[in-house]
Amino acid sequence: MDRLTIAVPKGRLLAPTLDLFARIGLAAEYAEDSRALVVPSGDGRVRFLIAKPMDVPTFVEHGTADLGVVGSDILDEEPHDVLQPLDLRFGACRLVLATPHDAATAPLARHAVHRVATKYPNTAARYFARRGLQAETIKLYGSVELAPSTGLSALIVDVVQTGATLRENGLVVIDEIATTSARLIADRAAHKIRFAEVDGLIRALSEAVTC
Amino acid sequence: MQRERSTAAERTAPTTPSGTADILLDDAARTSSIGAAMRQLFGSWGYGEVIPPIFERVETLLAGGIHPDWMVRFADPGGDALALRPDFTTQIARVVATRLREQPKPLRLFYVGSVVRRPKPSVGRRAEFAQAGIELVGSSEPTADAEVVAIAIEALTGLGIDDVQVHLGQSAFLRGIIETTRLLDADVRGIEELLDRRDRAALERRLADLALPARCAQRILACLELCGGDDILDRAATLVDSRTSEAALANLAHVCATLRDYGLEDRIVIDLAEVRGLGYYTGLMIEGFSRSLAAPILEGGRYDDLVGRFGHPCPAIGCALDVARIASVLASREAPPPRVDALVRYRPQQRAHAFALAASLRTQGRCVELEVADRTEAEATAYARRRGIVEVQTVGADGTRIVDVASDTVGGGTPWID
Repeated sequence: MDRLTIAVPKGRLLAPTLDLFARIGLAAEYAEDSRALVVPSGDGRVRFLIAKPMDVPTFVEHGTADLGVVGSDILDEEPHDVLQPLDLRFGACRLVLATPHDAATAPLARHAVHRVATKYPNTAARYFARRGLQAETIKLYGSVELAPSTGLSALIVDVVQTGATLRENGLVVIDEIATTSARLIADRAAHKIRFAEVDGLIRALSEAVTC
Repeated sequence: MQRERSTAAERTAPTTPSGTADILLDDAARTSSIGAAMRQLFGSWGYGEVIPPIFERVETLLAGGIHPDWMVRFADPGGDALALRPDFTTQIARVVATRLREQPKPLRLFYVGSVVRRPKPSVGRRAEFAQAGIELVGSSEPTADAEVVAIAIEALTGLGIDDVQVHLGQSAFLRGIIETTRLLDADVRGIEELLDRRDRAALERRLADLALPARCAQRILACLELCGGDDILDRAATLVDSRTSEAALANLAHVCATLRDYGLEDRIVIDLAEVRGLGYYTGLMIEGFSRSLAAPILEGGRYDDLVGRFGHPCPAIGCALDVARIASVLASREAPPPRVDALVRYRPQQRAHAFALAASLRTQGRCVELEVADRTEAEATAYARRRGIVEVQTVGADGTRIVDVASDTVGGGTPWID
């Protein structure tokens, strides 16, 4: 039988993710400066795919990976038909609406069309629709804080961890849209075909997260 | 109206609409041969073919419980709302309730063809794909349930998918548990959503928020683990005390016992955690997998309410094989299908002779192409090499000269000059 494959996200969630798997006895043989994209666990029981966070749900949905770890911000932004059996609780962030300091006191006008720059256009559009506001979203792939200072848009929707980057760019939070954290996701078919293995792993992770 | 600008490349290389594909050559051959094998198999079990129209009135599909988001709709010139068929089962229910109403029951029907659905936004979703399926109408017996499962397994193993695993669920099991909670519909949907995500922790919290009695909450949570062999039925039996759930388990036990007599018990997994299809199926739920594919290749179940929506209440069960996915599993395993055996070329004077030679080779079961281009033997041989054709046979006045394409050697016949 093939080893289970687990897609894990590059970036800030990688270290806590690998740490969590190490705690249930699945330590990845991964060196931080490594360029390897497929890494076995020390005992060879599973292998990890190191993927861009946005790509993790895709690998899992197509069954290339049986399980994956990804931020809930990404799951909320693009629909993917995957199981979401576990909130891993680490990597907690807030998805916020922010604007330059001097504009923050005025309420958002209902008659205006608000321009908002974000990496999360779908989530942002849903948020504005929920508030009954009109918005034009502009998709950016990074450095969203640039948008207000360059005149691209007065508003941004972005993920903040400590808020330091916002402050340094003269931005303040005017609303919190969601709290996000790392989630375990699973391929529907793998969860059925290899129920004992996959469910066993989910339970082990669940215990590791709770204690 | 302003038109979208397109690049020159886009104008010269049109693509198929999103979610569709041209199925070509070997893949097409594989797809049709699956269809042919299914026709043969279903026929041998006494099922008769139905070829319904490729589009249907939207109101018929809505009456059959098809979600509007699935439909690719259009209007006919008279303004009737129509949709390409997203599913055969609704059409067959309509046929059974109307034109085949007087037929003796049980009625055994099958279909082979494409369905069209609006693709979901997520990646890789299909808008059109081929299905082959059966419907057994007019029996609510577990033996009818088991027959449909047995035919599906025989179909898949017969096609060479030797690792088929069929998951059987029962929609009445969870319904029986939820009935006893007296929750509002919205809360029930919330619980089903969390069950569908298999999110145990969130489900625990939600059940606590709803202040369900502990015993009831435990039952719902226990559903997440009810996946495995026969022992699952015993475990499930200790969990329930509603008659609906008990009847569901009795049905599953009976289906499993029947499948044992078909010799298929090794193929079956009991899966009471599945909530998809709860709104549609009224009893047994069927899902089949091969280990080589991360998606079901078989789906179906019992839908005792459906035919009645068209005015002729009648129990029914059916399932559909996903021909496109089965073809992709087979493509990853099979050797390429047989090549063309010979290209036959000739001088105009020998044309009748060449046609007779080709016909005789074909009656021997060989696959033959006739030359329709004016080219030399060397050119024809180069073409044959690219096409994977085994021989080039040239019919001349003095006999037939045969070039073995792989080795480029001449055998048989007499030399023939271009």
